[in-house]
Amino acid sequence: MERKASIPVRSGEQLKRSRRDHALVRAAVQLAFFIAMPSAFYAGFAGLKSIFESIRAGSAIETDGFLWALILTCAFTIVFGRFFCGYICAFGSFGDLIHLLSGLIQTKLFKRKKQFELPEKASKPLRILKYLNLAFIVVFAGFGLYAKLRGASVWDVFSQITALSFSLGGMSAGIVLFAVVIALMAVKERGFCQFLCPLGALFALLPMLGSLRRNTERCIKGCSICKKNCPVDLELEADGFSNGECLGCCKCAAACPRANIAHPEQKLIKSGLAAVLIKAALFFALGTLIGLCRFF
Amino acid sequence: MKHINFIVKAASLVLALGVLAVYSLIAADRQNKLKEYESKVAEIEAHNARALDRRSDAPASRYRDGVYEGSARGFRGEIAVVVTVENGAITAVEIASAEKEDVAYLIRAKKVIESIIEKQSAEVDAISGATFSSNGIRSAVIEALKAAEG
Repeated sequence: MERKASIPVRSGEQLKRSRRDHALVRAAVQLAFFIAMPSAFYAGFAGLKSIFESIRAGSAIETDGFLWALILTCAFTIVFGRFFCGYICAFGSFGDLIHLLSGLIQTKLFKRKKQFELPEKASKPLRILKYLNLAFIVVFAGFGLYAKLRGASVWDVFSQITALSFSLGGMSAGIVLFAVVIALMAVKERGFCQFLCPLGALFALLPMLGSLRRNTERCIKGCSICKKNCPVDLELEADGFSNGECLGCCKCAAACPRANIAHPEQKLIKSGLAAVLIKAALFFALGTLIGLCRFF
Repeated sequence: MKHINFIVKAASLVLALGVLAVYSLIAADRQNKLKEYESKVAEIEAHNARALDRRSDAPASRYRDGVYEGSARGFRGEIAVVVTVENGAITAVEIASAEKEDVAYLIRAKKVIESIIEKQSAEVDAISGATFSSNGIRSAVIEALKAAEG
């Protein structure tokens, strides 16, 4: 008990500043990637799909930009946890925007005290759906049936909208699904990412080295502020392995009164925000190299 | 066994990558053999065609010789192509400009050119994963070939 009492607790003012700085840096990084690499997630997904289509065709796996995008996003996730999901993925950032707007509408327009959030009990079992979705897509690609789904892809609709082209003919199924996904993101932060995203299913299996971890021994008993701030309702484990569902957004780390949650690389780079910027710069450089950037 | 999780994950990853790599090597080898075989078939067919040519007049091609330009909307903006027709056959399709397309997608979409030349027609399937860019190239070629017809 003596030892625990000596651990500094961040003051309310410090916490407020920490959360504000984190929110600003994250929004800036997300916006930058949304503008520069809006199709990075889709390129990775197309790479995954094309592996199974190649196997079906009996031809060698093609090493083009899409496969490189898959390799880059997977390698990044293995090394740093799901930083890609939390900071880079344009669809995730779009979901954060929807969730933010939904909150503003609920509190400002309808004068609700708190934004409605799908309770953990309802959301936890839904996380399995994304693995089924991934399996479904792999099977469809593997049997050469993927072309039959044309027009039903939520991401095709999204890509048309981000390209500002709005040629949505023949995509009615996709538009309906897109509306459902928007509704989902409005009632559950990152609802699509944790319940449906096929890449999210793949990425949840991958983190091996650098995902966020919590120093549970130093925690205040019964605190769970991290869980309340987490889009996926996680109470992180001390061991970085069991945290595959963690989207790597670091909202918990910014809100922790004892600053108990950190990435392993923060042993080298003390500041969590500096670590975020370095990782973002690294992804940007590698992504540009393989042609994911719209401008270079 | 503190690191058992790590070891299991790393082993599964290596296994999965290994399977894909071995598969890819075998498939590439098979593809090469197939290509060799196909080129032999093409040689024989060309020989036969020449022999037939001497006996009858070859059917006139739909396309007049020349270099034709066309453009159409791709993913983010216009794609312009230059189509070359020699001896009545489409021999080359080049992208003249596609400034607004994403590079990774455009590279992928360019595969549609191979199938256009192979089929001697722009009525080919779009490239999966790069549907919009490859459809743009296709439509631009159709546009260019309109000028070549007649």
